[in-house]
Amino acid sequence: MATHRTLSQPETTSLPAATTGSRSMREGRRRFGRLMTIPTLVALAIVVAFPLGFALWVSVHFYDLTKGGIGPFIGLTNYAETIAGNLFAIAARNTAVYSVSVVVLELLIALGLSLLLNLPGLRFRGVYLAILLIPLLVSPVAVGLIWRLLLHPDVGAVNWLLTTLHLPPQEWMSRPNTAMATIVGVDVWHETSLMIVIILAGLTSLPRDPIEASMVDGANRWQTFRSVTLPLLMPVLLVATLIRFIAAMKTYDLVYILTRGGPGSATETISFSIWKAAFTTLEMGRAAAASFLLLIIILVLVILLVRLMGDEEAEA
Amino acid sequence: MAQAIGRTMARNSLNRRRLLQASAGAGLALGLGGRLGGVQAQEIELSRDFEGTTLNLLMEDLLETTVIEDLLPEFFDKTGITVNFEKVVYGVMREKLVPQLAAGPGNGAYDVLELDFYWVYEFARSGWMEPLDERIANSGGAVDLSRYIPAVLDISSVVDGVTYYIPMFPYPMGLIYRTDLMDDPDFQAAYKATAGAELVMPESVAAYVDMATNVSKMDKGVYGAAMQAQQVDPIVMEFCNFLYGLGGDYYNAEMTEPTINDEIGVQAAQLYADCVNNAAQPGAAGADLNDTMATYLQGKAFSMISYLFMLNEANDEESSTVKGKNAMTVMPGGRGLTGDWSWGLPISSPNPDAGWEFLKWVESPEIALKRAMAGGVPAQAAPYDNPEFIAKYPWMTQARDMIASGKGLPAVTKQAQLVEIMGRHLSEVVSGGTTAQAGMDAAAAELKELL
Repeated sequence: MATHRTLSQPETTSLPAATTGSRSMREGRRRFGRLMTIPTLVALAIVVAFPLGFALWVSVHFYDLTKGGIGPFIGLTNYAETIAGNLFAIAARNTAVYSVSVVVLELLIALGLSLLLNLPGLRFRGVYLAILLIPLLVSPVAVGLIWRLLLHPDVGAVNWLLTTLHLPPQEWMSRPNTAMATIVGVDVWHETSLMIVIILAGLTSLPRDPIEASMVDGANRWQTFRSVTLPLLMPVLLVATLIRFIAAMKTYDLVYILTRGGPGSATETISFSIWKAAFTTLEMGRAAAASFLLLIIILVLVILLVRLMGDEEAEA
Repeated sequence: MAQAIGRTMARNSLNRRRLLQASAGAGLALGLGGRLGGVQAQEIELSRDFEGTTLNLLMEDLLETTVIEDLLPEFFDKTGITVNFEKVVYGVMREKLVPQLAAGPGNGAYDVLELDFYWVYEFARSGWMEPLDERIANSGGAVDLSRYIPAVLDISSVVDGVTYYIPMFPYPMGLIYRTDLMDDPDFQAAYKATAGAELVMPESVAAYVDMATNVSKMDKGVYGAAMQAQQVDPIVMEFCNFLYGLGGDYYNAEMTEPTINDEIGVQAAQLYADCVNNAAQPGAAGADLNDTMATYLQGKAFSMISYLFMLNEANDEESSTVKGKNAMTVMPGGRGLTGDWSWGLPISSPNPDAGWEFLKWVESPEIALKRAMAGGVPAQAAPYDNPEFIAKYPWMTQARDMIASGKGLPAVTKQAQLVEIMGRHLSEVVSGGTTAQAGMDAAAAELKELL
């Protein structure tokens, strides 16, 4: 027995047996682990892979609901026609303008408000935070309807306020030069709360030592923020940007409620044009192709941002 | 020009809600069991073979639906069939219907369809609807298309020579205006001072735009027109009246070429944009029917090109500040848009035979008259000849003329896409993003793809 083993017995003789035993045990555990992931993989395959695969399959076939079921394989025709279409180019440009605008504005506002909320000794912090988080609790459709009323050109509160201040009333949603800015403004009102939650969580979890050390060394608040807080916070800011950017690229609800893509195509986003292809023209193949194009665009942006985050973390 | 309607209605201070309440309260069957206001009710034989069946219908949440819903116990008593109405707003109806229609024979969620007039070609030509000619022929006269106003049949019943639908109720559009202002000497004098001409009912689209623009200039606290130029459905429905009133159309008679960018089409687009920008309430370019109704009912507009049911809303005692002060006439130019809702049996219907029993009942002369008496707009001709109906709704005589002269949308399969295309380009013209000619040229290029 191993317990009665004498010192003269070479240790090496027992090692292979022990190694083999632990290796087989590890192997068994791995097998058990793999077995336990099967239900998850099956669930993922059902809820993610199958719909995606089906959509991909549809996107390379002729599929117009008014012409019966799924038609012949047509390769990349749906993709080519979608990209070549003038409306897709307009929608892509609108989506880019909208996404960049809302993310930049929300990031700046949320960062500023989070820094204020994180000030040491701030009274009524909970009250401020609760008020700031209210928009986050409202559904996008309700937000759209609320702002549709507030911005009503004739009976809306915003124009009433403007005229009270002797400023000219505006047609917020029906003019090309104001419609996109209006949707961006409403989104900023709605979604900045999410950014605040993320950034504030990041700020409160930052180590205090480097910040206090920089102040002891004589740095003022701006210098401390720029040289210590901001670099430490950068991974959190990138995550917040990533989350909001992906959501902004897919925006559909606000456009649907506020402008229906108008006037003309001034506020038509890619998601809205996909909805139109699917439910107005009933061209499911084209809609699926446009969906995949949007997916590819988002994937590329996500990869770029994740790499950027990796670089930032490495630098940190 | 047809005589303006609604003045008598205004005097009687009638409205749809009150009518509905009154009808329900008094018992809709009152006096309708045997003779229906002078017209002998035709007995429709209904089968009890489907007793215990439940029919599901997707219905727009409006008065006609409520009227029918109130009558459903009568259908249950006669057939043992339960009818369940899923009531939704118009905007989501097509989105909910299409996946069900494409589900395959017997696999859909809805047994009978209520369809708007610009889905009829798309649904029929997609093979989603059951042709009804055979059922009608075998119904022993229970369903008889000769009972309907012919224009309504043209708009939403027959597709490519086959009857797929039975008309439900039409919704003609025309010119609604304020009679109190029209007849007010001060208002007339102010108009003359501004326009340099007498205030008279316009006989052409251009004259209407001119009149509405001058009313807006008068500083009398009313806009010349309450308009709904939000894309896509509101703007196109309203624009159709300008186009048809000028004698134009989207395509030529042979349906081989778009004509929306011809001289009349461009003129219609230009007049429409002028009217929105110079005569309508602020924000009209983004307004929908509710916004327009709010503007008009608050007494802020002199006129609106709108639906017949809006006349009733304007004279509604509860919500309107201009109750009893409104009348309606046919669209200047003599022709406007007439929309229509119709019934159909989808191929995907799980219970098409029970659904047919429902159609036989709901479109029977007796029920058609009950619906009319409760405030609905009849698609069948008989109620318009019924003295009780006309006594109750005197303006309906002229309404029939509006329906008869009205026009629907062109017979392309994808009419919803036509509306989307036109809505987008018209909105561009109205917002000043392009000229009327360029906008209609671009629209014509896309409309050609629909042929």
